[in-house]
Amino acid sequence: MLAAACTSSDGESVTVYSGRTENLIGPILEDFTAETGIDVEVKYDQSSNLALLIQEEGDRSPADVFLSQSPGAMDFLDGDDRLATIPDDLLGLVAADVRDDDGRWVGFSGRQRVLVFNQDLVDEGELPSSVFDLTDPAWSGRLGIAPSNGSFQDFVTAMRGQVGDDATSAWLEGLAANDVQTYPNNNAIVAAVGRGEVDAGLVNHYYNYRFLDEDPDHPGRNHQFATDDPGSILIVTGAAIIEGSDAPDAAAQLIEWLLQEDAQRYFADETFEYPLASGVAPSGDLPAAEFAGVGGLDLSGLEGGLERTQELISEAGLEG
Amino acid sequence: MHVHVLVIGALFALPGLFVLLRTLQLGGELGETLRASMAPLGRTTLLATSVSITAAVLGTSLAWILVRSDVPGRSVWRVIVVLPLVLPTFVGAAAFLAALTNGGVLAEALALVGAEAPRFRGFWPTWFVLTLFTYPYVFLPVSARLLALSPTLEESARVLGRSALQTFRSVTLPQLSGAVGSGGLLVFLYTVSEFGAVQLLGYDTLTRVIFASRVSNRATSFTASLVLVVLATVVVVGERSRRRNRPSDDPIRTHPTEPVALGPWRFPALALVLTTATFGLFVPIASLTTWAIRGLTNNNVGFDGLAEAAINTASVGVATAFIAVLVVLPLATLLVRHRSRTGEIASIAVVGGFAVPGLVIALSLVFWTLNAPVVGALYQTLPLLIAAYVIHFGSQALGAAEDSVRAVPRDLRESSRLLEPSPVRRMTTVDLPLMRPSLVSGGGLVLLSTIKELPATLLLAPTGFRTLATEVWGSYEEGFYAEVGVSGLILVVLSAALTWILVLRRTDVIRDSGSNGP
Amino acid sequence: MFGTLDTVLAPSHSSSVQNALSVQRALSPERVLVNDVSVSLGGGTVVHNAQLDVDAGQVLALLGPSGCGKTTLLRAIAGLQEHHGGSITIGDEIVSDARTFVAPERRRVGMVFQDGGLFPHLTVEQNVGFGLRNHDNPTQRINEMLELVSMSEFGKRLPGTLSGGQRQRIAVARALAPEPSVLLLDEPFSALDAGLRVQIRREVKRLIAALGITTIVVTHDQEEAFAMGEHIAVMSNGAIEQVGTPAELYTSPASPWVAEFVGDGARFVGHYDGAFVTTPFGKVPAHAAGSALPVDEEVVVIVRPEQLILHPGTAGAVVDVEYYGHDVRYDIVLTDGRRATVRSVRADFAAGDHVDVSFDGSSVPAWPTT
Repeated sequence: MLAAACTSSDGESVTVYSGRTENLIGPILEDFTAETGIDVEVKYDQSSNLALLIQEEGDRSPADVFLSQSPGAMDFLDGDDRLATIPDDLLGLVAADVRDDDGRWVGFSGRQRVLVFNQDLVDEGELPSSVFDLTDPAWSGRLGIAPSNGSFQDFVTAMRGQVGDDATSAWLEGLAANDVQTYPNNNAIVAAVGRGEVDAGLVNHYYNYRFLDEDPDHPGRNHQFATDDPGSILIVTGAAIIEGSDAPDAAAQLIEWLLQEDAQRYFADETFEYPLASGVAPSGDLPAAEFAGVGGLDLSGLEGGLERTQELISEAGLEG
Repeated sequence: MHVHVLVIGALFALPGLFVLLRTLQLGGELGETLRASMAPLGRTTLLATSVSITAAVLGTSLAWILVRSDVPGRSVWRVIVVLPLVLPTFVGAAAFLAALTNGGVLAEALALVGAEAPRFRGFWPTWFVLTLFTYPYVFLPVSARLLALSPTLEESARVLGRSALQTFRSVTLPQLSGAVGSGGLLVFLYTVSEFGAVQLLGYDTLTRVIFASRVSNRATSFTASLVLVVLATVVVVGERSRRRNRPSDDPIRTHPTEPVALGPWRFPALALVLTTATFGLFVPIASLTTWAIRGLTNNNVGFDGLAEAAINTASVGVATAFIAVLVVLPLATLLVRHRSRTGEIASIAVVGGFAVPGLVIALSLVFWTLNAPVVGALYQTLPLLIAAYVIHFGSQALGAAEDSVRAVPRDLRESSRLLEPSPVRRMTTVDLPLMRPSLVSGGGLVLLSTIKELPATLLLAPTGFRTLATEVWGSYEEGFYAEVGVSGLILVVLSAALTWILVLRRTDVIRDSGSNGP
Repeated sequence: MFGTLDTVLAPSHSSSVQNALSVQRALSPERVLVNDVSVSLGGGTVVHNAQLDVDAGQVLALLGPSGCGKTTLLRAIAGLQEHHGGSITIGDEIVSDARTFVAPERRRVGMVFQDGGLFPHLTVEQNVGFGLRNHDNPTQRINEMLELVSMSEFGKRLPGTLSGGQRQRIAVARALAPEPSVLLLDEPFSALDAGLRVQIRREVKRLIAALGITTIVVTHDQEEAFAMGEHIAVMSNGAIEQVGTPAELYTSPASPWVAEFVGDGARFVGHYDGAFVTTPFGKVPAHAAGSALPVDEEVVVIVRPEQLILHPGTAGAVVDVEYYGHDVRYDIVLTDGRRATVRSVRADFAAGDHVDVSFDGSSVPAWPTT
């Protein structure tokens, strides 16, 4: 079982470090191999761990492609100059606001932040149009968040980018004062909403669909915030080619595959995400995603980046 | 003789050196970061201390009950009671949480008596869950030691007027203090390095700082890692210096020990065993089963790859256990028979390795393998993965290895030397049978830990190498609880089978082969 | 050493020793009765229907080869081993039978184990005082006991630093400190080397005698049993073959096996005419040692070495000579191939000499051949 690193002859095999689990991307990669004959070797782990690994491996990294669910991890590698430029024709396949300005990564599927709520416990009329409404006393004790979760932190970072640190801080402190309930991850929030422990929570959109899939009686439903509200941002899952890869062509082919109709339909229909390739419509079950300021979440522009976000969160007294 | 021990020590010190290197390299405001680490450090220390105390008490009590007393079904319980060690703590904690929510086993039980399930977050739930999943670290070495102890001391105490309980306190317990200490130390270090349960249950420790800032602020992350390594080193040094005054030979058992008749105490003893098994094993399994059943009835489960994962898990686990015991045995021999200073220093490195989070160990091996000459070819191969496991878990075999060396008294060694010139033959016919119970219990611990290891496996394994732990994690991350249930149950069954075959069936070797008395 | 103990029986000696002894003697030693006791271990019966009666103050040696069940029986008396059938009584109290089982800590027996069993984590003083928790003045008693075994300066030492002989002395002191009614010794000297063994054995014997405590000693060494025991019970394969004084066992052993176990001898089969048995050495007087002898039939006899006398002659040859100083042991082969052992105070013969063997006229034990 001594697996060698990927062979160096271009086009024979490509190595992917994927922050997206096998359940959600494995079939696509298998189809790629069937279609092109290029072998795909995949290492699965959390995006941040993989980014650390690529950084530690340096130019001896066997990785050719990096798939990241965390903008922070992608920016980390970008800042370390570990990402190669993606060919223009690939970049053209998606809208400008879901890819890196410098062409170092491209988004291929999206996850929207929503408010999941228990339809038996929350009236239609109560549903807020802005995430800022949640500091209202009417929501006291009824809301759940996951402060340590990457997606939440990405969302708060985007909020900082839109409205500034002070307003963001004020909102976080408002939540804390409003007896917000904390959970370790999105799953826990949706589960809690489902059993009525809290009435609503801030999560990524697709979790509720998964719960419904496993249990049709699940009372949770998604609610989208207004289009330009920070609460409705789209978090992009990005793909990048690693600088110094010995199979850049195969890597580019793989990324192209992710942006093709088949793969995009898979993301839309099987995993309930938003396809990002231009011209591909989301699954019928999903509301049209009108997202706000997704603008290639360029965290490097933000002062202090993800770390400052985490500071703000803990300063507000929300333990991650 | 001492050189190879130094090499062993250096190997185990690789993660610590890496952390030190990176901390110095990344600079940053060291003072500032250190100050910010103090509160999490305090919480880590508090949690680790309390968990190791309760785990030690629970593990020792269970060991005595299941080895020395006449409680019925002992051999079965001895397997069951070890099994909580099998579950990755994040799975165990998640399953426990699920049991406390609507429809969960514990919630239903509480509802029967009209009580509400408590909100399960913070210090006390974390302490509770971690105690339940770590007491086997104490149970295994203590029960191995009890099996190997000569009963003469306890019988002398009985004849001199001490009741069974008094005998336990004044004679047995001092004999066990080494095993309790080394097991308790493992619990402490494990809790220090633990991340899954701690995050799930919302208790903010050092590991959380390390993980939260690992990408956003690597200086902070590595500084916190350094603080953790220092904490571990201090504790290990403290515990090992306490252990230095121990007799190095044990009298051999000449006859098997008669079980102590508990009489009416049998019921509370059995109750303790049952309660522990329920909370530590049956409740998590019930949750896993519920998930699995729900998934199977909805036809939601993908079984591909599970068989391969199971085989990988078993084979790499067994290989690691074997190698780990081999690696630490020379060190153990040196420590017990020669009391050498180099040995002590090397052992600090070995034991300290257990406290370092798997992620850090993996990254350190990436660093050292890719930056050292020659060994680069090992990168992302199984030997490197096994090396990571050995560094992380080797400590679990060390205490047991020392006990095993002590089980071969000097006059026995000397007389066998005169009778049998071949050292190999002596080893297999004289030393090994006496050493086996302890060696096997140490190897068993390494096996159980390796089976459920996650972060290092994800990073260092050859691409495409699946284990049951990685399968469970993959499903868990995306909320596919049905698959978590199925792969989790397979993990439990596999671990139970391996533990039974390799460990528990053999630890009775002296009991079975000892003479029945003249 | 126990030098001082030699003077114990004389009026003038140190007062503390005298006090200890008078305290001990004031406690009446108790009788031990083992009545039809059987013990099963690991699926097999290790002791069958054992019957022993040790009078108060008596010393009984339980003698037998390894694996015969003697240690198991001793442990049953101590309460460390359960038995089925019968009962064990110490003094007036039934300590175990079908309905009762008195725990070992309540039986007031003292026990010395083969490997000493000293607690390695306690000092000598703490070891000796271990059984004195309910005592009025433990410190005084500890000092008395240490002085009794001449180990007074070793109080603060750890057992690991003592020699084997010293450890056994402490083990004896520890067992006797709580003033038990019965003392049980399980092969207490077998771990010591030969010269030390005899010395310690003598010390312990004098101590036991002075204290007057009921004692049962388990041993596989015939010499040790004979030296220590006023009575000896010989065990074989879980059964007690014979109980008697050393002299009875030696001159009237209950079976040929017992005879050969307790001493050297040559076994012969010969015709019994009612008073004499025909042996290679002529007709010798015989007495029934076991059951009654059938007249005018073959019987088995054992001839002890000291009953034979060597002369120069042709009946046989000396094969081996062992010189002990106080006597000499000769191995003889007779012309018909049979062998015999002869002990003599005279060292007249050497290996290879041709000899005649005659009988000294004392009686030999005889048993029916079946």
